[in-house]
Order: sequence, then structure tokens, then C-alpha cells
Amino acid sequence: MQMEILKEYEEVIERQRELYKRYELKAEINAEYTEQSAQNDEEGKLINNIEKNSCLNFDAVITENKHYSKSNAIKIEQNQRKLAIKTEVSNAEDMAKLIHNNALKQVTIEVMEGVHLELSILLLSHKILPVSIIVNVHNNASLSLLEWFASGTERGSSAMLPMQQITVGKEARADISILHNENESSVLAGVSIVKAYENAELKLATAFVGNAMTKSALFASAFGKNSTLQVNELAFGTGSQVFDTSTAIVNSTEETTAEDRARCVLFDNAHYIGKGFAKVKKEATSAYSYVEHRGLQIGSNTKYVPMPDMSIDTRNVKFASHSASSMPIDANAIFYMMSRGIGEEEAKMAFVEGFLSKHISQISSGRFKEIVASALISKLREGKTVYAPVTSTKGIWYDKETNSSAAAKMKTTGIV
Amino acid sequence: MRLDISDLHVSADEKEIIKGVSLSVSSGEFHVLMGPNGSGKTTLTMAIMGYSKLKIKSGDIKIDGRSIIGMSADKRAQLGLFLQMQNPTEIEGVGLVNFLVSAKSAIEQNNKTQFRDLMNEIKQAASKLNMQDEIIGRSLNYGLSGGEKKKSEILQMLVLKPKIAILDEPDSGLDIDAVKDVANVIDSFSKESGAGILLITHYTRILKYLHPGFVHVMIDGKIVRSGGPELAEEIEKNGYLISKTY
Repeated sequence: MQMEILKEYEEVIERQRELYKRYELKAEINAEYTEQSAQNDEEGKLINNIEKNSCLNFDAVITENKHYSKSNAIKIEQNQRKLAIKTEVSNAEDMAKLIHNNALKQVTIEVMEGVHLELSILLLSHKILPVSIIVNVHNNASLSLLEWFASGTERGSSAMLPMQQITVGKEARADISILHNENESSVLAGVSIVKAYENAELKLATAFVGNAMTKSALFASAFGKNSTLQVNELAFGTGSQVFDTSTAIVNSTEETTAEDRARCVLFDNAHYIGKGFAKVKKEATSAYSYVEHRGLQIGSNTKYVPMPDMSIDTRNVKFASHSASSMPIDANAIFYMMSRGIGEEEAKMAFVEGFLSKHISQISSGRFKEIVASALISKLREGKTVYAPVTSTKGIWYDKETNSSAAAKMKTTGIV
Repeated sequence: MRLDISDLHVSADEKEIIKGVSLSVSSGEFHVLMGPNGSGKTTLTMAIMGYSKLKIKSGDIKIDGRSIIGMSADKRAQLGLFLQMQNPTEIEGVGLVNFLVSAKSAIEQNNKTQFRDLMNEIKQAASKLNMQDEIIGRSLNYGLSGGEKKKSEILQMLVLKPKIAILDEPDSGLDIDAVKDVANVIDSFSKESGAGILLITHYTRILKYLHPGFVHVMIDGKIVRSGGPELAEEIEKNGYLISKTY
């Protein structure tokens, strides 16, 4: 099923193929898993630390050789007992084939019709974790999901290979936050395929924080009439981290909304390539399509390559636009904050936090907002990915209902 | 607190803008600086606050007898200076409340600023300025009209309680009612706090609601005349040309 849908993705980006080839970075995956090799005496402690510091109690935890689920909505199957992979992946097809043929775990999350759930899952890769994740939100159901990806150790390298298929049924709502917080020696190569049916609403917010190399491909379709798709991706790079992301959003039918917003903060020698393609099909009259790439480059050795693009096959669109921009830290903004007594470094942090907050504000769940915000702020303050970031109430998020950061803070601190 | 500016010469991009300004403002004093467009008033305020793109060619700026030339803007603010900017910068994503918590902690040199107490202070200040509540929760100056930005600046002044406040055209962009609101707030603040005020304006409209003790006229980078409130009336009647003495 996933490979068939992937063909649709390949057809959508067909015209970009030659251009993208020049901007596809190779990810090397060289890892071996046996039950013995993935044993980690520290695993329990690491999971406890993440849960304690984030104030979360995960509904499911998945590693190579263990898994458990506390929720009836989450089913986990083990597929293989040993695995050795030595290969390179460049594009979505490579990654999908690799994961499809080697998946160690299959995770299925089913939210039945009319049911409303808030779930969180933790995936830990000790050596190599190819995992298939299928999320079905049935008609009239709603799901708020946090997927937290981490490495099985704080320093050793590992490979995280997730393939996700997310389907949001008629009149259903899904708000999915994905946090890639693997350590900075690791590799991530992942593919996601997403579909929203009639009158459905899907928000997908992904934060790429860890990994030496991140390769990500996302194909998202506003498939049913009046469906809404909001994709937000954030890459936060320090050191020599490299990100190569490719996102295709499609308005497949009439009255659909599809938005792709990608933000990127780069320090040191970090490198980001972001391909964002929007297709409005012939049948998609009155479609709303938007692609925006924004980069904040701090330091002269960073490299930011945004590639937004669009193909509109109908004359009758409500709105279609794509844009990209990059900026350094605004010196006038820093002076303004310093003129109020705030020190220069603190002012720069505040500025970067402000840039990140747009991504965080898209997450509906206040709790997940806080968790993602804390992971990002921890990295900002420490200059590197923090394994078990402490969730604090100094969040930089907005309360969606009131568009107010003050209201959000008051709710979290219990003042209101 | 006393701010002394002595024979100050300031350049921007190699062009001299301030050509020998001397001025003193002490706590409890209310000074007004007027002048035509391009006379260097805003450049003077930015130089006092330590804007790095301006070069001090000669002269001095002192606070309580101590030179602050070379001192960073945050340190100047921590000494008790405040600048309400003519064109406040918009900073998306930096919430006004969080910003004021950080600023107040920095100025008071402690981390004891309580969010709840500060929210009450902010709400009271907003009420005095007839500001809508929803503006408080927004990003710093982001998406605000010119008038709302000016009010937001004055709100910050009320919360941060400086010893000397430099207000650069607080009346520009405001309707007649808003001018009155802002003027009344500035007047109360100056009387209740004992702060020194240096207010820059083109027009005498706001001065109807204020009680300045000193009025200065700046033309082409120099203060050409100083006097009492009657000087403002003279400007109102005859314009700036009457003040040219160079």
C-alpha cells in the first residue's frame, strides 16, 4: 500500500526530478542489529529521564528488541530478529524500498469513528530501527499525537528509518507533532505519506533537531473535498549537521487547502536543503495552496538552499503562492531589546526563539507545544541536541484561541 | 539622576549629523526638544542610547558625572535610561509580556520578577492608555498601527520605571483623543516617579496637556535656542525660521 502511494508522490514530483537530483544528498547507512547488539542496560534510565524531564508518560515505547503499549489504540508487531544494512539512500524511493523491505517493527494507531484521543509514543534506535507507522484516524474522530524519536544512547551512532502512512477520514481531525531528537552522531532517513479525506483537517508539525544527517521525504495530499492540510517543518542545525528535506503537497480536488511552511535556524557549519513543491491538480478548483521557506542563518559558514516551487493545473484557484527568504539576526531588533536592559546574548536568544515560535504556535496541544518548545530552547541554550530536555514553563508559544502568548503562559502556570 | 551632554558631535556614514549639542536633563525636570524634520533630533536620542551605527566624533555623554561613551545600550538602560523610539522595531514571536519580564529582571538585576504581578502592572498601564487587552498578548510591536506602537512604548516606560525617559515623538500617529491619553500618562508618570523627561516633538499640540519647564530648539544638528514654555508658543505662532541664529 505504501509503495503504491509512493508512486503517486513520484508522479507529482516528476518534473522536479532532474533538478532535485542535483540537490539530493546521500545518506550512508551502515548498521547491524541482533537482539544482543541492541541490548542497552541504560535504556530504562534513558526512557525514565525523557519521561521525567518532559512530564510525559508515553503511551507506547518502541526499541529494536522491545516494545510496549498502554493504549488499545496502539498495536505493535515485531517483524524480524536480525538485520544488517550497508547502503546509501538518496531519494524517497530509495528510502521507502529500504524501510519497506527491512521494517523491524510495525506500529498501527487506529482511532475509531467518533473517538477523540491524545497519545504520545517514543521510538528509540540503539543501532538501526526501520519502522513502519500507520496512523488511521477514522471518520469523525480526532487525534492529537506526539511522536518522539531518540537514539538509544546519548553518543553512539544509530540509524532511524521511519516510514509513516497517515490517513485522516471524513470530518476527522489529526494534530501530529513529530520531534526528531536523535543524538548528533546518528542518521535519519524517513518517508511520510499523508492523506486527508473530505472535510478532514490535518496538521503535521515536524521538528528536526538531532542527527548528523537528516533525509526526509513527505508527500501530503488534501484528497477529499474541503480538506485542509497544514505542514510545518523546522530544522535546527548546529555544528556540522546536514538536512535534506523534500516535501510535496497536493490539492487533489475542489475547495482544498494545502500549506507547507518550513523554517530553518542554522548555526556554525550547518547545511540545509529544503525542497518544497506544491501541486494544484486540474480538478482542484478554488484551491488554496501556499509554500513558504524562511531561514535564519547565524554565522557565515552556514548553507541554506530553499527550493519552493509550484505547479498549478487549473485556472480557478482561490490563492496560490510560494516564497523563500533568509536573514541574519536583525541588528535593529537586538538594539531595541538591549535598549530595554536585556543583554546582547539574551537578546539574540530571544530573537531566535521568536523565529522558532511560529512553528511551535502551529501545534494545537498546549502540552506538546511546551515539550517541543523546550527541546528547541534547550538546544539553543546548550548549542547541541539535549537528550532529555527539561520541559519548562518559559515557553514561547501562543495560545491558539486567543493568539496570545500571555494567555498560554497563564494557562500553563495555572494562573487562569 | 542627571544626564549631561557636552559639545557632542555625532556622525552617521561619515556625515556629521550632530554638530555640537550641549544639554542637561535631571530627575524631576521636563525638557522638550523641538525642531524641523532632519534637524538631528532622533539621531541625538539614538546616540544617547548607544546605537552602534552612530559614531561619536567628540564631546561626551555622562550620567551622574560618569561618561557612558562606549557603554552598551543594555548597560545604559540598567542605569535608568529609557528611549521611546520614533519607529519601534517589530519583533515577531517575541511576546510583549515575556519581553517585559526579561527587561524588568535585567534592570532590577534579579530574577524575582513575578509574572502575575507584572501582568497586573501591564494591564493597569494599558488601561491608562486606553489600549485593547489583546494587544498585550501579541508579539512586540508586530502588526500594530503607528499609534498602537507609540502607546506600547509608553506602556513599557510605565512598567520599567526609568529615571530619565527620552520620548521621541510620542504624539506622532495618534488621533486627538489618543494624544490626550498619552500626554496625561506622561504627565502623571513624570510627577509621580520624579523621572526626568526629554520629549521630542514637532508640534505643540501635545504640550497643551503637559507642563514642560524647558524648551529647546534644534536646527541643523545644533541647539539654537533654549527657554521656557513660552518658546513653544513662539514656535507655534512663528514657525522654526524665527529660531535660526546661525
